[in-house]
Amino acid sequence: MRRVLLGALGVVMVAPFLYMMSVSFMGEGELLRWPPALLPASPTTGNYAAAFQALSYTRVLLNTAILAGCVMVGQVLTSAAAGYAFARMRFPGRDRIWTSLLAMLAIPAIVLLIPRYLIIDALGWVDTYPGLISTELVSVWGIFLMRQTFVMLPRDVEDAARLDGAGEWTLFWRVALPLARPAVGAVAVLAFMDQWRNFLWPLVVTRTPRMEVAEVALAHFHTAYAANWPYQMAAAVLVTLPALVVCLLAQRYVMQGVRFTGARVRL
Amino acid sequence: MASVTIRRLSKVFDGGVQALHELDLEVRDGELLVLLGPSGSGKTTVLRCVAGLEEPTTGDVVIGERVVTHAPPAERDVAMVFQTPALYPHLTVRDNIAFPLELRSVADAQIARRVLEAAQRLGLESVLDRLPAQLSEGQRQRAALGRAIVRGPQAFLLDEPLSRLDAPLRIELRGELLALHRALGATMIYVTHDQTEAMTMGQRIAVLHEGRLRQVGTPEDVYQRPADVHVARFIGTPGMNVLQGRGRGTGEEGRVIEAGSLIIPVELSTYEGELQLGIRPEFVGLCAVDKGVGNADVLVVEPLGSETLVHLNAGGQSLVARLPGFAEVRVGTRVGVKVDRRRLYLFDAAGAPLA
Amino acid sequence: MSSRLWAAGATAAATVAAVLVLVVVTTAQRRYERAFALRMAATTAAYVAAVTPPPPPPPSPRRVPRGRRRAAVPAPPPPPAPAPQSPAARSYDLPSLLTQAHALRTLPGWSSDVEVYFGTAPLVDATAPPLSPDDLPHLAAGGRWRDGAALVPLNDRAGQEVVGAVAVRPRPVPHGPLPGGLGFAFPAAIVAVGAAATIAFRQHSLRRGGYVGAALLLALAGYLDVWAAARQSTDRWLVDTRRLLTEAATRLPPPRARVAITDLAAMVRDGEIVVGEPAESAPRRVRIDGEQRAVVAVLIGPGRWIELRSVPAEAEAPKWLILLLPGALLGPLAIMALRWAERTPVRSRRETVMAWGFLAPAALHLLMFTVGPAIYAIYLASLANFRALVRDPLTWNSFVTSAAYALYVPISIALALAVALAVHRYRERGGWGRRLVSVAFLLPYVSSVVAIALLWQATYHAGSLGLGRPDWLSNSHTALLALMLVSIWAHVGGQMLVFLGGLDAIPQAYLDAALVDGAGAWRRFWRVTLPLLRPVTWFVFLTGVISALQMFTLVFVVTQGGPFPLHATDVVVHRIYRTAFGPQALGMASALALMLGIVLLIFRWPQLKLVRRQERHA
Ligand SMILES: Nc1ncnc2c1ncn2[C@@H]1O[C@H](COP(=O)(O)OP(=O)(O)OP(=O)(O)O)[C@@H](O)[C@H]1O
Ligand SMILES: [Mg+2]
Repeated sequence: MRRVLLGALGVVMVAPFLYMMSVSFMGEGELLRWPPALLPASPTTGNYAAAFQALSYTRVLLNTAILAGCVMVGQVLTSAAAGYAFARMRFPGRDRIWTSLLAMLAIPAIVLLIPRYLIIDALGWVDTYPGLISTELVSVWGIFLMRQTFVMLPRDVEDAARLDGAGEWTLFWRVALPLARPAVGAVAVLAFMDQWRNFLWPLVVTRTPRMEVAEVALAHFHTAYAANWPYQMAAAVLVTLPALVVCLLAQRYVMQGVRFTGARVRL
Repeated sequence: MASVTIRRLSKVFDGGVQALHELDLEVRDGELLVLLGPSGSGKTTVLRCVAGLEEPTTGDVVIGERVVTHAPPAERDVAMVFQTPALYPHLTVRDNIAFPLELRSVADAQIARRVLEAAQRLGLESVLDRLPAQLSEGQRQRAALGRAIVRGPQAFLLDEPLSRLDAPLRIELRGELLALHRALGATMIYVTHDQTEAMTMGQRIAVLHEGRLRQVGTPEDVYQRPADVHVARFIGTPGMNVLQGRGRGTGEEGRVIEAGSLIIPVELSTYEGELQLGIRPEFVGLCAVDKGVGNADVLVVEPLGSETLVHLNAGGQSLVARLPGFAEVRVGTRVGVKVDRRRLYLFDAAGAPLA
Repeated sequence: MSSRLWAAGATAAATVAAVLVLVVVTTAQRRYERAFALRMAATTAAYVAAVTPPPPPPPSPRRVPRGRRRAAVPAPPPPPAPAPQSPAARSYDLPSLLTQAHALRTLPGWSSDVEVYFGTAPLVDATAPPLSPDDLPHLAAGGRWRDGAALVPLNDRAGQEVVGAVAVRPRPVPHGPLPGGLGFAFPAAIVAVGAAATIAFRQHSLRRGGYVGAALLLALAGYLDVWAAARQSTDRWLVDTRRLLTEAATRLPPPRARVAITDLAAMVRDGEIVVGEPAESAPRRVRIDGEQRAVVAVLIGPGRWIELRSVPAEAEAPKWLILLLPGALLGPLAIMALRWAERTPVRSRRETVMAWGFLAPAALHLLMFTVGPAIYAIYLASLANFRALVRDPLTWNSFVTSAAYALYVPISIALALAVALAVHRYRERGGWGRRLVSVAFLLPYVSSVVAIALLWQATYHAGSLGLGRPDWLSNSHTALLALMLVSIWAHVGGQMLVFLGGLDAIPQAYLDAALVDGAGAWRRFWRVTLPLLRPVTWFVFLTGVISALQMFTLVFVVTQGGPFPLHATDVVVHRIYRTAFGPQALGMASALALMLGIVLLIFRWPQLKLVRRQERHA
């Protein structure tokens, strides 16, 4: 009984996606009939070929990958370094700085959107990779997570490494960071997924199709081909697919990220 | 190998806790010195200061000829084994042992040779490629030792390395450690709060209490001639009985000390007033009521087989008697107390010995 | 290091800070002077263009100019006259131009030197080097500063082509009461350095606050100087332009018998001219419609007064504080750092430096892209914007819409919790079945959000066909509900997984203990499970609301805020986006964002407290 419930819920979750796939193989008119077709009468891959072209899929995918990849690396490095300093080093004002850092979590991204745009504009970075990427390179949540992790690492191991002749840098890079691998994975996957689906910022800061990321391109595609659902579904499948692969590969980390963020989707 | 000298070392932690008070200690080249003290007495703090993990508030640490008070740990060339094995969980035993050599950019071939050597010495050859999580507690502690000996440091600092092991394993490893010390001729500071361990291992024992060094001497010294009441109390199982008493110059038998319900005659010409009287449990005996130096109530009887410990309450002062074999004493009865007058220790009220 | 060395370091730091402030002050003064000169040059160019008549129709283009020149200008050597076909010659009558240029030089009460170039040739001081031929096309892009003078283009009468240039070289005037043009900043700098040196070398003599005070004084003095320079730049322009206007009123070429205000207004594009009343000739500051204006009265004919108005430059002067304050406070900061370093053991110092090395990337980034923008956002969102927003019904509509939309959060949480409780004990541990189900629940968390929006739009669309009516999304009453449904669908799976994790973390012993105490299933749930699950539930709820109030993509892709005209799904962030990047009302959008930020704070605050409590437990 309970298993059925779980299974039913699973089906509810997956069904729209399956429907998306199904529609993406249909001909243009098939959705305009009643009852709407559930399965394509004569499956065609033409939609994909067309969407691939119209989206300039490779370019857009490359942009998204550059954005997500750079931000991922950036956030992992800055979060780990800052988290390590807060967890493991003593310096004047540390606790006060930590508190104010946490207070920064209270500043919502939407408040920062316009001033950030103006700054990027002033730097002449609108519609460039630096403009797309630079604002996202640090995540306070990431720092928080890394500090949490480093605080819990056994101190003795670190002291042992000091005696073994490790300097601060070796300590961080060769001892603490490998021990914090699960957290690093969580921060990385979280950053990657968030940027893969980041919409508002890329929408604001890019101008030309050359710089668009997948989400923005898909939204524009939608405006351009409003009535042709199979077309749009094909594009949607193309854009979703890479993220899906990541999810399957890094399911554990994705789950960790979902838990850490309190299960939110930035709709 | 080198000697380790600590001069007037004090340590005040950030919170204001003063863990060490003006410590002076010299560990000779090749010596195994045991640092003994109750929990919280500052033993670990001493080691950490020597290792450079903590910076002393005042005072100096000298290793060999070099003053290293403010040098970072990496420059001191000492090895430390911690209470926990503190192995790198993400590295195999081999890589763990090799780590310090790697950081010193030793050639690969030499690393391999030296790691193998250390492993052989400690019987770790068969587990070299395992991760620490896959080892037994004893193997882990051995691996930690391996990481310490592989680089041939100036001195070893061992912080209760055996305290987490069960008794038989502890005895086994203790023997191995002693053998290792002899084989390497290493300077070692061995920290323990277990005084049996201290007595069996140390060439010299340094007794630490509340951040002050109370006595440094051979095991016999600290047992027979405790430098103050704290040492006396701490050394021995159970430790020395210490009674709060008062010297008085009356009575036909000469001078006496009154302590609770006991009146103990002493040969002490110069002292009157509050003092402390120490006597080891083995020199306390029981007899019929009113036949000894006073009477006491039996609180607890602990028969241990070879001996029996009897806990007594003598007019508010507690003391322990150690009797051979199974003694016929009943809890709740009143007994007379005998003491061996030649084995008394007298301390003033502050705890310093009286002549 | 000896204490004298530290003291020397402190003094040096204070000196650097003082010099920095002085540099900022001089830079600001120079900028304002240049701004004045450029503005004056532009006005002068407009004046010259307005008062110089076009060349007369050519009976003999060669003779006429020569005769006129002799008559009007006694001394100057003949300028290298451009070819008569040149645009300059076609546009202006050269002799008149010469007259005007010379008149400018001798205009009484003018605070600058003027040069007029006809083509590339200087007209007033003929020995001055001519412009290079390249200069004119370059000037077309706007005025520039060159060799101590502002150079602006002189256009032809139609305003189309650059036919020459006007250069204004402001005569130096003292900026402050002290020689050398330095006003308050210079003595203040000496006082500040002196104070720092005194404190540093005699540490017991002054409290630590002493030098901070001196530094603030320095910043204030510097600001006063900058402010004065700004004010002066406006005043000079007003006074000099006043002279020009009076002059223009008499010189405007026929057929104008009586000068019209509009003619004059054309000369001062960056100022305002209105009919005025008699008043003193000195510039004044007055409030007009709630805005500060610098004004001066101008007499342009017998009994005819006008008022020349300008935005006072000093209104913009506070922005220099952004440089002045940090510059001045650099001193105390450096001294505090030195003090700290002096009484800190070497190793702590090293550790601190290392720590800041680790922190630097994140810290700099946060300053530049979080703290700075946050302050900037407050600056952008002026009070007037808030007032306008409060009056705008669309603002309220957006907040109500967002709040209504956020109602899906408790629903999806209740759903997720119910399912989690139902399936918890009966889940098969491990196995690919469970894995697959988890993946299914995680799908909305990884798939593209735009794709989710599209696929639901398609689904709604397909579903509506049977009813033969417009789908839910096109109906004002159901559109928001439809979006909420999507949101519930997207969140419920992940929330359930989080609750399952929370349930797993409840030690069985608690439940067993309750069982032993005779609690029934219902009581066990209320008294044990739910209280233990509360932190998780709270956290999920708060993050859920926070992210719901910031929803954007769904609306942007699916409804664009419609159906209109009710703005049925116009959530706050969408409104912000439309405001900011529609009519470019960035300030307004910033104000709206701040309003949302304040609302979000209500939820963010308990969330952070929750997080901190967790942190302390860890
Ligand atoms: N980092 C620290 N900050 C503040 N106080 C400390 C710190 N480390 C130790 N102490 C205090 O210093 C005193 C000595 O501690 P230490 O760890 O040296 O004792 P120990 O003799 O090693 O005890 P144990 O046998 O339990 O290991 C204790 O009172 C302890 O609370
Ligand atoms: Mg210890």
